[in-house]
Amino acid sequence: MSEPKDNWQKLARLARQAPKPAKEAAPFGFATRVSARRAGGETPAPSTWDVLEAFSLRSLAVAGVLMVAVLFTSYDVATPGWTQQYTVADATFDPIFEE
Amino acid sequence: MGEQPGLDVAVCLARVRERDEDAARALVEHLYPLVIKIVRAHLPRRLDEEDLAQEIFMKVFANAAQYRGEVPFGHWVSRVAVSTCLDRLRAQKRRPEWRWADLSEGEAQVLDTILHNEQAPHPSQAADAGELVGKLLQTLSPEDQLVIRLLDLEERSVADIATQTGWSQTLVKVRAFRARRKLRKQLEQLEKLKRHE
Repeated sequence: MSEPKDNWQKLARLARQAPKPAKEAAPFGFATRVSARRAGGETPAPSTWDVLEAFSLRSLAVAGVLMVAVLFTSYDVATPGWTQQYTVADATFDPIFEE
Repeated sequence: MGEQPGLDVAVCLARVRERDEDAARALVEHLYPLVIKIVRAHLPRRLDEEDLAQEIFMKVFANAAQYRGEVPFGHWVSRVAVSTCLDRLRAQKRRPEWRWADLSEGEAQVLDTILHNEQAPHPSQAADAGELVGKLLQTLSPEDQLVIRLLDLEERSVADIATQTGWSQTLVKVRAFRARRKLRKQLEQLEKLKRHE
């Protein structure tokens, strides 16, 4: 195999030749400690992304509920065009002229 | 990956889901070599490897119900382990800036050989090279560290890394390209600092 010219590749190639640790069995009592934590009902700490995801989902749910609530309470304001019925009289109504 | 004869993982998992503690212990013993290998490759500074391994196993058990058997269990556990290590690396906001004086004698010799000798370095310098690479990787972002370790040190394929990380193959290649560029700059920077020290 030819020697790489790039310094990083040279270093990485040399580092790959470093002795690898032998396959290792679990230290004494490790499995029991994990099992005990699990039996004790301990749950793993959520990661930052898990927390962010949970908050995002909750925010989405809250925003959805608020949107529905606003639409429900202010339906007439939000959609005047759908609820108001215009007549020819409304369209030609002019209060100044009336006076 | 990590699937050894002597333990029926599917049966063991079914028993684990039924809160069988003996099965949980057997599964931990079975998966430990796989998990500790990943932990050691990606261990953040100043963090105990056993603590991190325990955390990974807790996540494996907490999410065991979500495992559907679409990929080998070892692959699934690897992914949990890698993502846990990445989370821990992300939590370490400060990244070191190495100077020539921070390198051990062996590491400095390796670097000197790499930078100035046209000949191939001697294999006896491999352990020091490994230490030096570890230091250089600490200056990268967690994602860059991960991709370089898997691609350049463990010589895994891009497709394999994409499977393990959940990233696209293009993203893996782009990250590797940028990370290598940063590492080359680091080496140049160390060389410049040496001249000034």
